[in-house]
Amino acid sequence: MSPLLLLAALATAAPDDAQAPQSPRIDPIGGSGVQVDYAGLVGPDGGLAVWTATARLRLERVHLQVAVPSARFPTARGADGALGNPSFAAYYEVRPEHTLGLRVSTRGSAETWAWLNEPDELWPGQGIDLLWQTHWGSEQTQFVFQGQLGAHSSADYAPFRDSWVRLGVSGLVDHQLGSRFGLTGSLDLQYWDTSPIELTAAARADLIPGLRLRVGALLPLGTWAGLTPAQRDAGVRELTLFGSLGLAR
Amino acid sequence: MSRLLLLALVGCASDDAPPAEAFAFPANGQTGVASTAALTVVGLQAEPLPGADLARVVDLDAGGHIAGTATLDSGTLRFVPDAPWPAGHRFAWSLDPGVDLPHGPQGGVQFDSPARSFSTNDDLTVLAATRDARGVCAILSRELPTATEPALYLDGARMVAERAEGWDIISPRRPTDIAPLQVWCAPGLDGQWLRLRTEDGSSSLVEISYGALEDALTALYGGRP
Repeated sequence: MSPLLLLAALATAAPDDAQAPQSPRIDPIGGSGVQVDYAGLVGPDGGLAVWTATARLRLERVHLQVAVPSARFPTARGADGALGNPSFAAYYEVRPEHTLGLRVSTRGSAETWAWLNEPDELWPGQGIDLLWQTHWGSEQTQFVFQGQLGAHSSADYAPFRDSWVRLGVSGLVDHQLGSRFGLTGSLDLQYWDTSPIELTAAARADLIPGLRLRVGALLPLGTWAGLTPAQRDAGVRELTLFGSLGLAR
Repeated sequence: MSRLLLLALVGCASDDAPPAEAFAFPANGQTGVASTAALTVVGLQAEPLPGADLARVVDLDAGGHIAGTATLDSGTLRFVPDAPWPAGHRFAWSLDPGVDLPHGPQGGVQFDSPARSFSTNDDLTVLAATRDARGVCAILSRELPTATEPALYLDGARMVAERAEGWDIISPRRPTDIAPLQVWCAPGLDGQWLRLRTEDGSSSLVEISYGALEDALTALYGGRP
């Protein structure tokens, strides 16, 4: 099947639950599809942008996901571009409201010396995370909670460590507005992490059935408070704008 | 010159460690450097940030950067140009440990050091002159052929000097592909100015500093006494 036919099939046959709630730290447990994400740093330390291509496949209660990030980032010699760390995830719906996941990130390029918010996204390294998601709520308002435990290793230059353990919790609320729009907010607490506390707000619109556009902002509260391991002064110096276009069925 | 001033020789030390004793070859201002000589810094305690060039070299006569390969191994940095150094040119060089970036590598430690230059021409100049227990000593920019005595003038009067020995104890790890600076001393003399005249009629003049010869040599080699 050609890619165009696949996209057409995805766009024309989209059950309501294909587009599951998601945030920068919470993967959607929905249908099969593809998605392109953009995230850009805004502020005096800007100039860093990440594009991520993601493919998802749902096989009954199993959800497989492959994500490949790439970045354009500042260096001492000017802007550079390189591949981030591809990740592979498998989620299993233990029960309809509970999902267990395993996500493995692998070193993409040895030269991507940058981090946006997530420490395992770009910086050369690899690791594994166990994830547990549970969701509840109504058709109009959904809640998702995620717990995360991971072990990672990174190229050992500050602010990164040679190896680190990540413990994280994330909460998300997604509210439907009408038949095609919605708002999503999330709060993420992570340790060890380059951006340990994050608050995100996003709006979404279903352009056509199955095709969802998301735009939002990530407020790195931990970085603003000086809690990042990077040598940064506390203060509101940056935020991340993000957007995505996802097709799912 | 502004370019030269911008260049800084860089070494590193952690907050806890004593200042690094790094020595760079060729010495600052050295002439007659061989076309195949590698720029070498020994004793570096630096751990450059990823993405750093390690070394940057500028051709002051032709302009532009010199392409080459820089490696850092066990505290010794070597920069080997892709092609031999152009003959008769002057060069400025510096080390580049990288810079801290808000969303990138951090932790590089830098220190300032005098700008460094060298040349592949055969100009002969006096780089520094000292007055200590050895008398008045002149540090020349390159080696002189055996049995050739430099035309040194102390406050205008011809100074008879002898080649000094043992000065290179400040740098026992001097690379073999770079000739040492040459030192000529005249015991028992004192003065303020020392001039070197060459056969082609050029001359260079330096003020005599009161201090140990080793300190002057150390400064030229970029060490931190």
